[in-house]
Amino acid sequence: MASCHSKASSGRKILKADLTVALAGNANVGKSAIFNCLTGSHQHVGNWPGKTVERAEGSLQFKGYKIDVIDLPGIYSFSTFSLEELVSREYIALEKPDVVVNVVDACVLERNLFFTLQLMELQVPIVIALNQVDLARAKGIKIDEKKLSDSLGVPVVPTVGIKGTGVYELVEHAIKIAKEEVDAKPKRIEYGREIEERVKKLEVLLADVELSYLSRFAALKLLEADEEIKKEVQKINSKAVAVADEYAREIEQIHGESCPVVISSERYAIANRVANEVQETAVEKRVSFVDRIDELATHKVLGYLLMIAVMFSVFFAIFSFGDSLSGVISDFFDLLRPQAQDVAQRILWEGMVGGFVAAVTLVLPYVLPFYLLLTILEDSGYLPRVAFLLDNLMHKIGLHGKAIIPVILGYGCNVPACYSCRIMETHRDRLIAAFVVTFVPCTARIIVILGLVASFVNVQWAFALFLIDLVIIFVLGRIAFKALPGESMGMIMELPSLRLPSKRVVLTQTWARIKSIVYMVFPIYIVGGTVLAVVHMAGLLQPIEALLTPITVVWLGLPSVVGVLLLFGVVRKELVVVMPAILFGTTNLAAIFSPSQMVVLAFVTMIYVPCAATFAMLKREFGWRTTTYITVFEIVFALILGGIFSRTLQFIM
Amino acid sequence: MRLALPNRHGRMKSGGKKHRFQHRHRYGNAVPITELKPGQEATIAFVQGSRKVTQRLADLGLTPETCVFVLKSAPLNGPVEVAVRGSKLAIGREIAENIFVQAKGT
Repeated sequence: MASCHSKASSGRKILKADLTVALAGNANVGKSAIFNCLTGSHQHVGNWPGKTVERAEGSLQFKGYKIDVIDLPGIYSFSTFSLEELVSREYIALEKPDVVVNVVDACVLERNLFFTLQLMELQVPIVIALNQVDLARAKGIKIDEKKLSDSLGVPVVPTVGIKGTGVYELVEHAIKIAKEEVDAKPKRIEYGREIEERVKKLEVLLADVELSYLSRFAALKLLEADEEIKKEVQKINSKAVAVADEYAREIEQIHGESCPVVISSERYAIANRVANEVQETAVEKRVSFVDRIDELATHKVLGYLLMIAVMFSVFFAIFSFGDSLSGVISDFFDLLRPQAQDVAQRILWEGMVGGFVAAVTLVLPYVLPFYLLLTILEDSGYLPRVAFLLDNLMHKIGLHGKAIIPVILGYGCNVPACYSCRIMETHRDRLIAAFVVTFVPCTARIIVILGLVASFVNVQWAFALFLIDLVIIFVLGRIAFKALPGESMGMIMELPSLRLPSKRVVLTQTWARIKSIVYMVFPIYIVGGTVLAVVHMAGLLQPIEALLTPITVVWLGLPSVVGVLLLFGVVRKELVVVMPAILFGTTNLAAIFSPSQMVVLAFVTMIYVPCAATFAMLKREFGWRTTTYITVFEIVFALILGGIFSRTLQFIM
Repeated sequence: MRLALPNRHGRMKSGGKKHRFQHRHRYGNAVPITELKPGQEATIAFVQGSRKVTQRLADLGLTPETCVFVLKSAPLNGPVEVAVRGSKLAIGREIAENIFVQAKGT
């Protein structure tokens, strides 16, 4: 039965009970499609407390139950080497959702079962959503879900998340499991003798210890040298940790592999056996259309051409759409501006409304299409191919291929770009990527460079500025890579099957992300705009200009008005080219600046500070301290280079 | 019924074999996966590297004795694309150079 949100939510109004369902599974298995199908627009994307891991929550009403759904991050294991894995494991083990829906990709059953086995070891109520069964069938993979269910001791419901097929039955099963109406106890997973003997002995040692995990699970994780569990056990029973280390050494001796690898291998051997028992794969191997596209996408010549074409069209689309729409929005609000203007009204209009308009003209024309296209690219599975192609290039600045994604996004808008640094594995890599991203000229800065330099100086100088910026990114990236403590990791990344993005997933995901940006950006812009308006009304602009003259006039060799321009530019960088027109009543900037001054101003604007919205995003991702460091560094860096630049230009231009 | 572990030959593993970490010795003819030609099939002999890297590779299915395919190698010492257990992985060159395999037929 094809059913989705509309049906699932049409339950009776009486709320019998509250249930919590957690969705868990590998990345790229269609988990978010199922999540969207379950919760529709009733969802909220935020952060896990204190962690930069996305937490998507939603709710649905089904047969009178109000069900909360939590979409856990897509992970491959519980080895807790990433924040996502730790967050997911702790959530399941400590907060104990009523039922865990394990979304399993029918196309890659064995790899997915590896994770399922670990979920089963947590001994929580599980239902398996055997997802993308249609794709699997098309690939010639037939899975006997009854057999699968029997061999794991867990109910299995075949689903097609993007169409909503099977989701109704999935929820029915989840409720039955949660209400303990059916007896479904996940089977126990038995390892080889050497491991089992030692696990049992460790379990005895851990029996009288109060742990947040089951003693068998904890024993296994001790053998796997899991840092978190080691820490927890160490506090209460340090002997168990020492014994576990000794056992792990013994196992290494026997197998000639490190103990965690031995355990993973055995787990995979079980996953492999179960998968082989329940699935039949047709031998016939046709090269499908998708295979051909995939072949092209990572081709050593054509792949790069395709990438350039895709990126160019994305930027062209956003830039042309954003530019025209932001003009329309500004004009529209200008029409509404009242004529009579006393001080209070002007503060209201130029400050609050101005800030609001600034936020609208950022979010609607630029951030929205960007998130939309990003989500499409993400859902189609194309972005990892780009990372594959550019891994080598990114290594030059100490990052690996995945970091190209935030960098590319940065050319559109730094805000989503900083957010997307989450795809990097370690904190250090995230930080370097975000730092680099803030030097990438976003659309606003591109407008400044084009509006000042390309229009009034020449295109070559505009081009030169972009090149200089690339050099700066490269050099600073390298320095940050050398200077920052912490560890980096090379690229290990799944290349998910390419597919047509699902409209529903793309739209709901974009919407959820936009919402969280709106909450963050709008208050800043409105408050920032008001403060600037008040400063303006109070006649403080001249004193500020005067205060900044040592920097602007003496050091940078620019007119004193630049002090105010740069101040406004903090809120919105394109104001640097828009404001002179308002202040001097002329759009001929050549009357105000000499060509070399324009180049210097564009250069300083390009790097002097992250804009207010980027600042807020950095603060959310990395905290006040790091954000302040980055900001101060960029101001100083831009001013020093700007001054040197201005002096050099005197000889060149 | 319990989910117990069979070995490659369908029997339960028996302990007792004492090996030290002498990978290269045990797998005299093992080569880094980066030396395989695209399309060539091989089995994993052993993986070197930090705990974090080896664990991640194992989690994604690259455990000893697993059958792998090299699909592609990005130009200029770029990453390699590997097919394993029904999925495709992109692995950076410096990590891939530490994945040792025995090519089929050697």
